Amino acid sequence: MLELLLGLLKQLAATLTPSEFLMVLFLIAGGVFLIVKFILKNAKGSGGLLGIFTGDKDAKLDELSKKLADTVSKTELQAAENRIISVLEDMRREAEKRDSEMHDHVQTLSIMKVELENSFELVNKQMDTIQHQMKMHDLHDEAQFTSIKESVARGQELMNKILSQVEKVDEFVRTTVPEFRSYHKELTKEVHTLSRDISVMDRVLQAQINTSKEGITLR
Amino acid sequence: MVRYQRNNILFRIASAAAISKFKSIQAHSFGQLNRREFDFDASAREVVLLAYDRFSQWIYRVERICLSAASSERDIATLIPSLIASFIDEQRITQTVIESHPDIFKNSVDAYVRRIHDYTAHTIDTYFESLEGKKVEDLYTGVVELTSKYLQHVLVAMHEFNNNCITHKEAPFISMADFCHDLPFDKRHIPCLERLKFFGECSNHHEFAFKYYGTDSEAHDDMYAELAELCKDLNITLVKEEHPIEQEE
Repeated sequence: MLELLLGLLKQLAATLTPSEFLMVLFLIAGGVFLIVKFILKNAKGSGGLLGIFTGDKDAKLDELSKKLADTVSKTELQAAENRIISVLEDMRREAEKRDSEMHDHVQTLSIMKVELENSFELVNKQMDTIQHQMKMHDLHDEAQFTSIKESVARGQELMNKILSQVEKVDEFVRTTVPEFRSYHKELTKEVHTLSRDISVMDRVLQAQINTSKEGITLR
Repeated sequence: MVRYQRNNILFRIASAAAISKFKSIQAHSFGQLNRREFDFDASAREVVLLAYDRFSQWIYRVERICLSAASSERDIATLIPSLIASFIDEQRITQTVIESHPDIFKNSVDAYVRRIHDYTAHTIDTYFESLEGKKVEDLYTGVVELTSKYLQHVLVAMHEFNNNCITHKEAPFISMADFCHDLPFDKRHIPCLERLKFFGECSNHHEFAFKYYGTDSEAHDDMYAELAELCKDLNITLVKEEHPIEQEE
């Protein structure tokens, strides 16, 4: 039966144009539908889905449609619900994950805060120490400055003593230098004279050596 | 233990002065050898140089001997015969060197030098006799002075040989210096006569000019006269130098 129907369809496809073939197919599909509807109606008796094909009970048809629609909606709804639940679950998981990460961040920040606090504390302590040292240094400088001042004062005293000694020596030299100067002058003069005499003697000796008659000069 | 001899400062002063004077004269003599106008033959030059070399070393040895004698208070008079013998020995060594090197000492210079050595050996003791009785420093000074005079005598003699036998640049001449002049009368002309004989044998000259190099310029005429008289026996005419040039400074 089916093979026959298929052969028929092939023949029709070969002979008819595509639009005509489609028309025929629709007609055949419609006929089959009506037949199935009739059969079903007869099989169920008074009502059922087949009542739709008979057209007797539009209300039931509508009701069926509605139920069907509702059923579909429920399914969809369920599916949608499931999807939503799933999504929500995902979101929840995501949120949990984020929450956990946030928790970690917060913990890290806490640690950093503690460390920072410790560092500040340390810096403060060092600042205090430095301040203390500077205070001490100032004290030491002051002490040193005091000792320097003392040394300078002593040095000044010494300088004064030296200056007074120099003045005394200067006074002494002033009184004695004139005598020494004249003596020195005389000495210088004598030395100069002696030096001149020595030069003269040297020249005389040289002349004597050069004009020495020792040694035969051949002729 | 290393032997050490005490020094004698007086002697050292005297010996240093004597050697200094000797060296000064030596330098002057070498300068004479270098004079171009004489054109000194190599052989003649080498004889003078050799003689100065040998006797320079000899006076240093004599210095040491005199110093040793002074420190040991040895009788100075006993030194003199040793010194004479030593002097003659030096001449002998000089002669040996000359005869051993005929390639250097040519032109019969060895025969001429032998003549000089012979008459010196016969006259040198006279010089040393005059040093007897002197202090060691005077003895040494006298020995050095004598050696210096002798070496100048060699210089003069080689100047004669160079001219009379080799170059013939001027007329033959004969010379006298203090070495001969200081000898006693009977000995002072022997050196000149011996050399005149030599020149007469090798060149057959009979006329020679007389050149006097003695420090006593007043003795020039006397020396000439004496020698001229003695030359007659040799059949030699001695001509006095007409215008003797004063010794150059």
